Amino acid sequence: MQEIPIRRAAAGMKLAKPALNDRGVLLFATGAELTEDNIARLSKAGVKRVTVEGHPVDTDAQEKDLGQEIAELHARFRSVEKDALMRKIRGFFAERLNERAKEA
Amino acid sequence: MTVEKEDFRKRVEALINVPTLQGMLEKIKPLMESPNAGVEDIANIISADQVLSAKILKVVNSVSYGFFGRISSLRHALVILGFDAIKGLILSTSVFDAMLAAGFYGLWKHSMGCAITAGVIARKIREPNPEEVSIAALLHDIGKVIIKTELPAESTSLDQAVIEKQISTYEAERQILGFDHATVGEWLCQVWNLPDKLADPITYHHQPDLSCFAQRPTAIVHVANVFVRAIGFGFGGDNLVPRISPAAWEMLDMSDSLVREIIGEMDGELEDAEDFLTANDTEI
Repeated sequence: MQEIPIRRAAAGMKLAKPALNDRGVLLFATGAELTEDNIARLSKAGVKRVTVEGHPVDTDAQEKDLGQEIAELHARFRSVEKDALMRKIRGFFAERLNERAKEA
Repeated sequence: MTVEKEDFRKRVEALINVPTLQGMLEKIKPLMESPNAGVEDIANIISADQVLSAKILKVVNSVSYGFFGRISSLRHALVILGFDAIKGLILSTSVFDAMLAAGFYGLWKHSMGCAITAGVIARKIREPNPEEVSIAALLHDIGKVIIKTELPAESTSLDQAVIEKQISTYEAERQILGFDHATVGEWLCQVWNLPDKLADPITYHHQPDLSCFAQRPTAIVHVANVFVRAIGFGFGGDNLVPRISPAAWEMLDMSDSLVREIIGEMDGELEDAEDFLTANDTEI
């Protein structure tokens, strides 16, 4: 099974764990097959992540993307890396890239 | 390769190769200057040019995406943005047409990204008229368009210098041409009689400390340019993030948590804008 962000969910995937809203109310039971409609319903209910059967999303590729994105970020800041303020700003953008990777 | 600065300035001043723009500005100028003219009068004149109207609405909706919802009429756009911003928009749509026609998609995307980012910063620090700051940001690199279209041979040398010397376009322009795109932008602002709140950010987006008449909008556009380059949205001619002026940064007085919020919001808006622009065939 694999826990994935809701935006990576796709029709045809099957829930390996029940999908609950933030108050713990059951929205879809284990074994429910995701459809475009119920993905939209989950998203609307504020569900951020679901656990599905198998390993349908390639998270390794995501990790590589993050490493590459961080390297590119550093390359863009190469001419100002001695400046303390610019290093700090680069840090904020690196944080954002990490957040995005976690969301993914 | 030398370009006489004054000769080139005269060429820029004589640039009337954007007929829609010049004709339209001449039509609406008396109305803008008249105390009795209303939004309807100006909206009616611009609406007569359907292509221009559609382009203006498209740009307005792109740069203010997610804030106002959809702006569907010119009248609505005028009420929200004000006359000066619309004047800037008429200028930008015409110039950006030329930019896309010449294949400068990366620069156009950079300008759109800067406009969106400047809007986010302006709203977050509660700057009055954030839409106006967005329009200034949209136009900040207008001088680059003129250099690219009017000086094609020199532009190729600039691109080569950027790669070979690992310098910014701004530095390459100063080294090779003896003047830069911000100065060309300033000339255009004078030719088109743009107000200081648009002219200062265009003229001083690399040297915000020199702004006399629109210091905060200029500081916002300066920072937005850095942020949009940092996030790697579009292409401003090189892939180097410029240094932020400490004085401009201090003027905006942004806490670390506010900067994080701004970056999060700009990231989301840029992603949405990319979808929106792609869905609309990337034409203004």
